[in-house]
Amino acid sequence: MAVATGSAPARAEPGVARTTAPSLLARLLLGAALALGIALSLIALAVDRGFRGAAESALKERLESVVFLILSTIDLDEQGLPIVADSLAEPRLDQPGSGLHAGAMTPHGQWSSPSLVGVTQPPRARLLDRGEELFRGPDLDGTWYVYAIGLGWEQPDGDIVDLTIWAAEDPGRFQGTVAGFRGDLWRWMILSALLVIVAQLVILLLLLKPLTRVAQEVAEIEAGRRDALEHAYPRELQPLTANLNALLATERDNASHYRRALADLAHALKTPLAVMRARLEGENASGAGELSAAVDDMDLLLRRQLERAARSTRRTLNKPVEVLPVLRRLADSLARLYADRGLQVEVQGDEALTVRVDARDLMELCGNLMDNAAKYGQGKLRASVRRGRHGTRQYGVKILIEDDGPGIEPERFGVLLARGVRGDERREGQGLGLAIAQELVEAYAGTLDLIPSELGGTAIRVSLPPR
Amino acid sequence: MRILVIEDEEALRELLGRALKREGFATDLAADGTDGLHYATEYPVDLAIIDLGLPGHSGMEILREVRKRGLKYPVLVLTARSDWQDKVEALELGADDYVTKPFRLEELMARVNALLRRSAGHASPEVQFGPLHVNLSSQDVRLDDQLLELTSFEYKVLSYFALHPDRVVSKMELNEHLYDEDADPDSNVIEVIIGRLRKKLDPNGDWQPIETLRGRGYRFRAGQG
Repeated sequence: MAVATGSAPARAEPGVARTTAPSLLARLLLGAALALGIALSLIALAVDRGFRGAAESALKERLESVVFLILSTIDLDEQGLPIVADSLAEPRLDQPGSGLHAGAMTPHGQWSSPSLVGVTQPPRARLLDRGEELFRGPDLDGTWYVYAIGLGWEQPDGDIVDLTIWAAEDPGRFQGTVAGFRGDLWRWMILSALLVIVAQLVILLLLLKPLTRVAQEVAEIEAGRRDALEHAYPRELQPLTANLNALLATERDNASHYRRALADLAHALKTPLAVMRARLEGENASGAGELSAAVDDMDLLLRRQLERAARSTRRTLNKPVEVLPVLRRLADSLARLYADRGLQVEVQGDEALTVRVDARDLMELCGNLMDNAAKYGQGKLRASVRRGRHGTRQYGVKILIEDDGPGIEPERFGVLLARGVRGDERREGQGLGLAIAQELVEAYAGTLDLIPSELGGTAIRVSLPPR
Repeated sequence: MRILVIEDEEALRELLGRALKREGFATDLAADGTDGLHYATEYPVDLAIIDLGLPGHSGMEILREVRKRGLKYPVLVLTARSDWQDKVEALELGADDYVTKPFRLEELMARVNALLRRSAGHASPEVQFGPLHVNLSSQDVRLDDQLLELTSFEYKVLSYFALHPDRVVSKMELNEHLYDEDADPDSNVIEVIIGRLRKKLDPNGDWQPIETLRGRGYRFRAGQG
């Protein structure tokens, strides 16, 4: 039966909290592409309208010139019928199916250009009032651009006859020109958009490069490969990087100052306690026993509080620490300390396994557990480290400390680790080391549990999450 | 045996000195790291008790220097911090054991005796030389199972021999290791003590455990008897 403790379930699994927000590059590119799309569309629309208007004006002028060409050659006979020269200066008017037509009409009859021969749906014309001018696009059923003017023609007899001269052109030609222009326009717009997007991508990558480098350097700091952001960053980023470096340095300095202060405090408080205890040992006076017990209590309290205080020096970014060398150093130290008892320590595991735990905390955690195993075992101790598992995937690191002692009953282990039993109330040899180990494991969101050991005694299994 | 105590807290240093003397050890007391380093490297020392937090040179520096100079006597470290990091560092530098303050004198003495014994290659506090049994912990000396009455100084000499058997020990060495720094021993005293010890250890004269080597000193013959 395994008795487990720890607060891992209460915490979110590291990594899960990281949402997959779109990257800055994606956001900027998307935003720029949208703005670019809208801007280019509006420009294209304006250019298209401008071109269409200009093309229509040109068409109107062309038709106007045809009308004036007719006007320059027209005459009316006595019946008021229009007479136009056989050969006109505009050859398209003589060419059937050319798409350019002209005509003239009076209340007495009309004339139309030879180009209209064979046209099934000729432009519809009506007699305009004198001085009236008309230009219209393809009509509802028709397919012509028409320009016409209405005027009065004075006959030799002094009569004034209403005359309307018109010119029409097949819109196919006009529409072809517009469509050709539109095709060119959009091709160039898309090409420009692509070029602008590529340029933007290059610019964005250049702009984001320092930020990418910051992230990379922070990752390296986290991995313990560097202590500060060292690259020469652009002026705009320098306040950020300088402050980050200052923060890291302050944290580092604070941690070491704090540790030194704690060491001094421990020395300053414990040495007088040592004097008191040593003096009391020689005393037989009444009350010496009580005072001695009080010294013990003060010592224990002091130890607990100093250990807690030491743990608050933990840094935000812990370098990964290789576990096996720590276990080996402890094994050598314990073998030296317990040389009289011929302690045999075996250390096993994967050389490359690391944990992101303060190096001192890891030493403290394993030291307490291994020392307990050495104390309560019969002379054999095994410390091993392997990769942990979470379901079917690898997750964190497991450290196993085993002894060949009589073992701890699961119930007693549960009591020792039960919440509500303050570490301060425990006495040395009654799980103080275990309590320290437990607190450390919990501080790193790990778990500590008890399983039977292959060596015959107890195995304490520490599971530490990846971060 | 001569024990060096390097501790800056005067009261504790004096207490340790007195307790060690009561146990029959000669002591040198140093109040800071500078004096401590001098004693530790220049004086004959059988065991050193070094506090880690010292003014002048730290306990770790003294330890490093002692081992660097090839001095192999056991070192017991006194530390106020109970961190494993500190303990492991001290042990890696060559300390043999550590005691966390505040400690019990009794426990400290047991550790001192165990270290002295271990450094002489004895796993158990009970050492046997022929018919002679010396318990380095309880300081009982038995010859053929009979408890021997020894004076404090006789025991000091015998325990020194017991921890350095089959080795030539000069009178000077005995003086150095058995007397305090400020004592002014008369060289005849050693001869008188050796004479008394011979009578007590070998009343019939058939074992002769202490050999005199003229002009060189004495040799305790562990294998005989």
